[in-house]
Amino acid sequence: MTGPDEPAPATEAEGLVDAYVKAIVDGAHVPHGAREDLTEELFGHIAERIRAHAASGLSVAAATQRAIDDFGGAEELAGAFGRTFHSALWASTIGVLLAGVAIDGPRPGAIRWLRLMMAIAALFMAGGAIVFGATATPVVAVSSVVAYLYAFGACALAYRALGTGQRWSLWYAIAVAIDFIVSGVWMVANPATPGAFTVPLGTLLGAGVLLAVSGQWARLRAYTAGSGRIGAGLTAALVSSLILPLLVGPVFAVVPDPTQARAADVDVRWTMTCDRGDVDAGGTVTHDRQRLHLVLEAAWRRADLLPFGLMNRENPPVGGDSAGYQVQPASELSGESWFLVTNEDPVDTLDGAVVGWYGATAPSEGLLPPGIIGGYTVAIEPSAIRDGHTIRASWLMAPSDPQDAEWPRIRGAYAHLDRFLLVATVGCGESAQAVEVPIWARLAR
Amino acid sequence: MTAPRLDRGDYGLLLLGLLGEREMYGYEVVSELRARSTAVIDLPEGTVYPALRRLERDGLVRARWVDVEGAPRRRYYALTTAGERALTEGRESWHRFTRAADQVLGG
Repeated sequence: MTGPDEPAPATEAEGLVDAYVKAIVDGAHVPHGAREDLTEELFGHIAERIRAHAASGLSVAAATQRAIDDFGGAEELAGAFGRTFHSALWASTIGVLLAGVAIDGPRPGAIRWLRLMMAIAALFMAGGAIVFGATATPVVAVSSVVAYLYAFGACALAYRALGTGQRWSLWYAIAVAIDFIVSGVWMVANPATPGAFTVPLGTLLGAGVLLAVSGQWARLRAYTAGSGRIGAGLTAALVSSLILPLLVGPVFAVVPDPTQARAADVDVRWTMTCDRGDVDAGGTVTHDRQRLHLVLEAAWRRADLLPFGLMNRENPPVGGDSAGYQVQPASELSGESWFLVTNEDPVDTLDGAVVGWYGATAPSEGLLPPGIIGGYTVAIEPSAIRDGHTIRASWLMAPSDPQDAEWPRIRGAYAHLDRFLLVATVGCGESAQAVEVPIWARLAR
Repeated sequence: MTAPRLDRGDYGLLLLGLLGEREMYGYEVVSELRARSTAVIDLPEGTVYPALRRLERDGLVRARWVDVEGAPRRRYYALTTAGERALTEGRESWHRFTRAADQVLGG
């Protein structure tokens, strides 16, 4: 006997069979083209078995349950269909991660927040892949794109798996929430611009999600209770997807991109000659003055490949290299100083084109030693740095005291982008090849 | 196209054997399999469908829908030429194996 609001037994049975068949077809991720066809076939089989059991005297409800039991476990059948409709690789990875789970009871509200956070995380990962892929150097860009797209895929899978009660996706989302919190705290503690304050939205979202999760923990455990184990291999793959995007930056800070020039790819030579002659200081010419000629020549055997990424191959967003010198008087107590009479803009020796200007440029100026920054430095266009080209800059100096001064020694430094620093010290009549000074040593000073 | 391997838990060869006699639909295949094996082969009924779909995917069987009065329409499966060839090869291979096994076991 059923009340007016209660469904008829046949409808109840149909609903049960519908849900069962749907669990199989959904769990197998049957392609859309075959979904309807397979659903109809499975439904037809079970309906015929129900009729057979009912004919033997069972009630519709009992016959339905028996027919479903005869047909087999939904999860196992979904796995078998998954292996049929998809490749072995798909079945052993995505098929496992998105396997259908028998969910008992309604979906906890925290799942909505967890899925929202995973959607945002997926967007971040996609954004990371685009930004780094477009602006980083080739090997860094490719590595970043792989790492970020890998993480994007894992986030997208977790988003879907959260909706189907997969336990792994719950833990994955919790790990992402913790990552959001830690990253936000780190950004506040290490602002891009000193003194600036960044509102850690990720931290707030992560904390909010963890709060919601802790409040509904028992329900979430029940929601994912039907989920099977995914195995050590897939667990390792998921953990990797969390770690890899965080590793790209630190790894390439230590291991240089092989497509970029190293200090050994450029010969930087400083030459100093000393003589006497006319000195024109602002229109006032004095004769028989000490003169010091300093010449820098940077001969590039191998230049960087896309040093600012694919997107900036035509218009680099930052400057290029910087070079400068520091006069080192033989006696600090003599009070002698040398002033710059004139300087020649940096030129490409192959065609004489001016390739820089008097000054310095970021990020390379940050590598120049303190005594050189603010001196008579030159900046060099990044586009001028090409295989087989030599860049030349020169300075003419004279002592501020017209009386004979002690000839100084000069320390010259050349900095390439934010990559490396080459330093040499020369005296009168000397020419020296600059040697690399480790950046950490430079920064330590 | 390799023949189904019973030793790998794939009972596709048995399905080919049944379908080699006549066109059948899934429910009928399950019933025949159970009856002829005197219930020795009594797998969950649903497992026959992934196996049938694999045979179809591999071009060994083809399927068609048949309307049935007063009941859901049925999807009938029949062997293709490749399926007939696979059945012949699989049957020979199986008989060779059982003869050899009999000689070893003294059957």
